[in-house]
Amino acid sequence: MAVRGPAPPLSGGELYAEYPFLPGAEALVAGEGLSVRALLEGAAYERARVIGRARVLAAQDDPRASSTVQELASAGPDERYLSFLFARLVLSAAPAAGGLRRWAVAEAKRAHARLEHAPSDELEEVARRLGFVFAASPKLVRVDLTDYVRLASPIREAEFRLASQDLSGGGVFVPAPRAARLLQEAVRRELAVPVPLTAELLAAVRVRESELLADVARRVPAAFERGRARPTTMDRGRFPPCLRRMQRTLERGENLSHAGRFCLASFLHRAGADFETIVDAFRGAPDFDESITRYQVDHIRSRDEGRGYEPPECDTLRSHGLCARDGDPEGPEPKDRERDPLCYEPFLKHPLQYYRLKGGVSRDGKEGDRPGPPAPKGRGGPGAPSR
Amino acid sequence: MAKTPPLDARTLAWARGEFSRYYARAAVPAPERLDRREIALFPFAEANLMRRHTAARSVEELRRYLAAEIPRHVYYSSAYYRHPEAASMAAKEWFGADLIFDLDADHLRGAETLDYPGQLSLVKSRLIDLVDDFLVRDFGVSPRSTSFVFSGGRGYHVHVRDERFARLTSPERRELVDYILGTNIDPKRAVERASADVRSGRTVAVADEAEAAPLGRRGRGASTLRLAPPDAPGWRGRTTRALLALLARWEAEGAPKAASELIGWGADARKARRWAKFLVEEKRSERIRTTLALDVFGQESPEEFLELVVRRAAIEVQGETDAPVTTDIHRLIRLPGSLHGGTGFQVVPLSREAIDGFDPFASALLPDEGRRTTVELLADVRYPFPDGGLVGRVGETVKLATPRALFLVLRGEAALRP
Ligand code: SF4
Repeated sequence: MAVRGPAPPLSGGELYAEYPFLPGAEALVAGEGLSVRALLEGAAYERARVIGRARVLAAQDDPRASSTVQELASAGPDERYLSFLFARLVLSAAPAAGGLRRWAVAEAKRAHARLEHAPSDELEEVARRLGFVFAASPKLVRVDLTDYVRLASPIREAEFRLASQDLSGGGVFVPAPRAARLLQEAVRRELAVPVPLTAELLAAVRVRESELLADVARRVPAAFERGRARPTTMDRGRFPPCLRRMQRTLERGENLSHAGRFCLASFLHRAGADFETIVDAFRGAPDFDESITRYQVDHIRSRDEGRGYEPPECDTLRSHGLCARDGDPEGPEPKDRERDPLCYEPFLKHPLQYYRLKGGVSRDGKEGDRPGPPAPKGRGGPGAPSR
Repeated sequence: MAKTPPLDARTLAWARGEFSRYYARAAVPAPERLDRREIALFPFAEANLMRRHTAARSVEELRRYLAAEIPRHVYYSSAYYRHPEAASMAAKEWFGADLIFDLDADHLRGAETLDYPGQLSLVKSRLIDLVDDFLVRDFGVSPRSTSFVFSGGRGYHVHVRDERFARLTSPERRELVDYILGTNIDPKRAVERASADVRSGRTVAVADEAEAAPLGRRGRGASTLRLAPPDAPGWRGRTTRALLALLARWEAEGAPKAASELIGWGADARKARRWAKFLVEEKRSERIRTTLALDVFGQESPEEFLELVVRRAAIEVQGETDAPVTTDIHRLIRLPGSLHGGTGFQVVPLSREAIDGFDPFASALLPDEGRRTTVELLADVRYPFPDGGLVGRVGETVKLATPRALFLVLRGEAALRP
């Protein structure tokens, strides 16, 4: 690591108020003998809870954190910290993960607003506490290669691709603003994981904050909009494993890569889904934004006089790590977890081909393609062996 | 996967017998953390069915298994599993994987037109680029955590065992792969705008990307375009290095060669000849090589030219782009120390120092124990084995050292005499 620059201009307390997710932030309230119970119920923490609830709700409506939370601006460091703790506690107790994920996106954005203008030794310090190796030098920040790919692979902008970085000796040298954006991702990851709660505590939070949790559930866009079943020719049961896993990813409120989103939208269109159904499929995304999604989906499906973009073929999906023919260990049903024999047929080249072979009807009218030539024997299995 | 020509039952039995002599005695080395790896194999059989999901707890167990099974091809998983013998991926419980590079003539652009020895040496030169330039220089991989293997076929494998990489997921490995393959690299990044410093009279680079104007539009005043220094990190420096090496070669080979090469890479023929003329014939490439300045392009943007050149600096692949540099975290890879069932060559582990001088024809074939086998040639053959090589014409009947006969038979270029 590089020689440490001058101490961050923030005092310890201020650092934690700005970055309350940092391990060590507890020091802010060290003298208070704070217990989770007290935070949840104690009269002394009423104001922290009020601010915390505002944080939670603001994040649901605006995960990009484009507006500021009024209550936060006027709060002192310890109140800001406590309100953060409270928000994290409540969302960790929510029955669905979507609320926590959206809040993680918003809090990460909020942290970014500060990181963006922070001196590089402050970036280095925040990274270090989150477990990443950044080293500041006067002009550039050196990010350890593996940390870089971990943090950059979910970021969609082209300028973050490793091939466009100054990479040398296992370090990626990035300008400070890019380092700040990487840290935003680090914060999002950190916060998207619920804090472990005992059954008793979980129950207590759900009872005391039932109103807030119900409000959150109402505001999180549902992966499939409730109660409005649309007649469609599309049959999810016939989807190939890769597409089913993409849908599950979004439904769990997790991030899906850009390639994955493109594939899902173009596939759904070809499989006959209407516009609203495709948009709905993305509602679970932690950074879902109605207008952006509508615009993008519209773009994908109006290509080629309405045929829409061609979904990527299996080889491409495989190279993006999106193929799921080996089975998804996290899949809910046994058939999701097992390897899919049809996907291992050598003639299977395209997810739409899978869909048609399973009897699905796709937009270009081809129905139930005859299975291809009989499979030559001896296809290896997962991980085609090398020569 | 090995392309193995179909062999009849008698030939299979003979070849299996030769392999069994090897496996009965071979001290096949254990891959690191053997007990966490899946072992898979193809037997000598007409139906080419793979047997998977085996594990070996110790190197002795592995050797006994090979001696008993006498496989035609053997693989092990680049992945580490908690239960390597389990039949499904979910039950295996993946917990990490080596970084594997599999450079094979089948995947490299430019190999199609070469003969077998030519392909092997092309692959070797790309392998050395991959290791020295990408893995060590850029990725900071320690040569100590890297091992090299001659695949026994038409390529080489690199195994990187480095804790830092082991747990990377597929999409994360994707970034590394794209870097090496040069996916979407932007040659503009290798061009800097230099401006004459009024006071010192020296040129200074305007390094800040934000300040750099798009290529082609000449800036105001005395600023010129020039290449990033050759030691600049990442693809910027690599682009410069590739261009400088290319220019030096063209200066030696002449303008017509340069033009035809550019055309071969897809350049418009008129442009290619013009570039070749002013760069090589009029010797303006020297100015680039000595000053890095790109002003020899005059009003023309050098972007199109660079675009063609920069591709040559990537590990160029064709077909399934993932084959050589895999993001597949369940990949199977040929077991070092085993025999390749399509050539009879040993899969030879090599040190970095040994790669340069390695010649499979001299050192990967099983030793000649004096036994001879008579075969009929099914093709014209020419292989640079030691002592005069192996040369013959289709239809000839020849008596060969058994390992050489095995080589030709497994390749489908000779048949056992009835
Ligand atoms: S083989 Fe093709 S269709 Fe099947 S899971 Fe993989 S990408 Fe999807």
